[in-house]
Amino acid sequence: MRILIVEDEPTLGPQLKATLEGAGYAVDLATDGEDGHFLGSTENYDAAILDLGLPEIDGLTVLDRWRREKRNFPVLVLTARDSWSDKVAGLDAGADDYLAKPFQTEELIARLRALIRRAAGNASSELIAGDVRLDTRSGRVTLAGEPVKLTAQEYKLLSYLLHHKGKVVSRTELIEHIYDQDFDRDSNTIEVFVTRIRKKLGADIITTIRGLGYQLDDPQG
Amino acid sequence: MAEAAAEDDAVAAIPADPDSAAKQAALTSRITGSLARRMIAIAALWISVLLIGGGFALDRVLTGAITRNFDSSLEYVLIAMIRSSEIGPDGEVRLIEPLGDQRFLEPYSGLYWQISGGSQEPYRSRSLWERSLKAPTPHIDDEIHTYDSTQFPDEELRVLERNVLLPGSKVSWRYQIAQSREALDLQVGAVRATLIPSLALLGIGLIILAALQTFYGLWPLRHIRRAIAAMRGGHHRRVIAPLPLEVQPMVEELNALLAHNEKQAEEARLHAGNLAHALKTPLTVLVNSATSSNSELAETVRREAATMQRQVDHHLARARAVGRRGAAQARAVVWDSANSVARAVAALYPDARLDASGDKSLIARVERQDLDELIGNLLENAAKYGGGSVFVTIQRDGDMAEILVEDDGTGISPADRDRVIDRGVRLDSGKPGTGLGLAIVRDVAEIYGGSIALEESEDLGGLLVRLRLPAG
Repeated sequence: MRILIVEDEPTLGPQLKATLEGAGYAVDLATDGEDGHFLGSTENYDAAILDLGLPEIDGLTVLDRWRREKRNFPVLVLTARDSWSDKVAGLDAGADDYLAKPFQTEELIARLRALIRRAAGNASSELIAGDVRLDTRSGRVTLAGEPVKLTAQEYKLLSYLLHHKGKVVSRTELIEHIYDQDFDRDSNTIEVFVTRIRKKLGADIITTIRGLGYQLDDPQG
Repeated sequence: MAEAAAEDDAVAAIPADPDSAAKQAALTSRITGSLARRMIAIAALWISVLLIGGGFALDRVLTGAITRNFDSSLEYVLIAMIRSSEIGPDGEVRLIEPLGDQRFLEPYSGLYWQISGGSQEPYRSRSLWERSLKAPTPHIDDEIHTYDSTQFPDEELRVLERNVLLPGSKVSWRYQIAQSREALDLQVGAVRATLIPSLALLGIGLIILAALQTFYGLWPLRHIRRAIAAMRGGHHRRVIAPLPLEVQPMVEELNALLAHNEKQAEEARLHAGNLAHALKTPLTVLVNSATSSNSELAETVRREAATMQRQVDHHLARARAVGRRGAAQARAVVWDSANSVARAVAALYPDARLDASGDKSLIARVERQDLDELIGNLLENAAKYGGGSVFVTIQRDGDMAEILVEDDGTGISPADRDRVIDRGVRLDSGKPGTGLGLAIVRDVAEIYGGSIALEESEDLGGLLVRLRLPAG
């Protein structure tokens, strides 16, 4: 994995480079915007760490240029400017993550790993049943265009049923896919979740198949 | 004008309001008074004094003229009486020819004459009947003396008298002619009946004109008040209305003061921000250097660096908001802010699902950056500590904009709710964060006249944070 660091601060840059190299990455360090932009445009990186306050060209401009040139490697923005307005500006310019100074290197590395992992796959898609739409990328659920409030568990259950639309799914199967291994599993809670989803999305959305489990299908007629 | 008067009345009516601020304002208003009322009162005072004084003078002149006219007709009769007198054979006085006026012949007609002198019974007009005129004081001269007399209880008399020495007599005869004042008083009364209402009407007219003049003259002041209200309401950044020559310099000074304040606040904010940001990179270096070592010194550095970071964050957030407090015209669309911040939070917390509904056009009287900060902190808290679902509802409640942030986490027990807002207290110390999010949100919201409250989410079962801000 090859990482580009664009950081002008004379101590922090080499410190980051050393830490990331210690974590097993190949690292290039650029100390101004011009240099950083050139490296990002010409070399192939798996991710970049970009400081926003840079001499020559500022970080947001560098990011914007990369994105125009279709350089799509994930970029983690590093900045002392941590107001939400700044974060919004950075993320809207095409950053994938935003880390405010001061930060701890463990957090930086953890986020970098997650960023690379996320960039690797994860195609987005929308699941639809009647008026109900679920966007797996944003986690947005709408009923006839209006957003619906769902808890994380309700969402997971709905998402699983939508992924297996038309199939009868047993309680055991649902429990296995909704809870992680350590969770104290109680099959009665599934019934509670189904009731709540029916309350929020309409009673017909999930059909109970006696003795077998639950089924979600496009409404008939 | 009527509208302005009504406004003044509204100000005067304030003391009934239970609100203490309003009471204070009313008290100030009573002490300093209304400029318009004061000017009208002064005008009314001098108009009244002048008209009353002028009225008295005019009354004297007119009454004097009427009385003189009355007297001169009596005097004419008196002279005619003297001319037609002669001494009779017994030394008595008699009139050669009768006086022309019929009233001398009718008893109690109100017009009388009398000649008295010597030992003789007074020679008098038939109209006196059995009465006679008194001759109160003897005169040594032969001038005509005029006076009012009340010797007849039923009528007040105007009396002219003169001492005359007739040829062929050594006696000084007193000639008297008297007429009831009734006719004279009626004339004077008629003049006064016209004079007093005319002057009163004139006075009222002048006072009304003075009031109109005051209201029209003070129009620029009301205009400035409205312009300042419009500015505080956020419609303009400055008082921009064209105003009269005398008021314009004041408005220019006010605008200059506003500009000066804004510039100073902006500079202070910039400095605070620069200082805070300048500290952050060295803090990062310190923390990271200390992390690679396990000594006691490294531990101290890490701990103190964390404290420094907390302080920097807190004061930076306050500096941002306090600096903007003066900007009364701040406005931001809540939906736009919530939407872009939610996008950012979703990017930073890929496991969280964020959604929003509600009024898309609702405006809060808050600077956009601060609104981003408020909503960002709440959404980040919900995404970080909640169960994964975050729902934002934007709604208007009276004159407040409400932003509800719900999550499906474990929530916060009522007992802990106050504590968690206070600076630095974190219930879940297992996750990274400064624990300052809610304290900053509360401080910034309060600076703008808003508030936050922690409640329980009915739909999601976790925490509901209710952020209230003045709506635009």
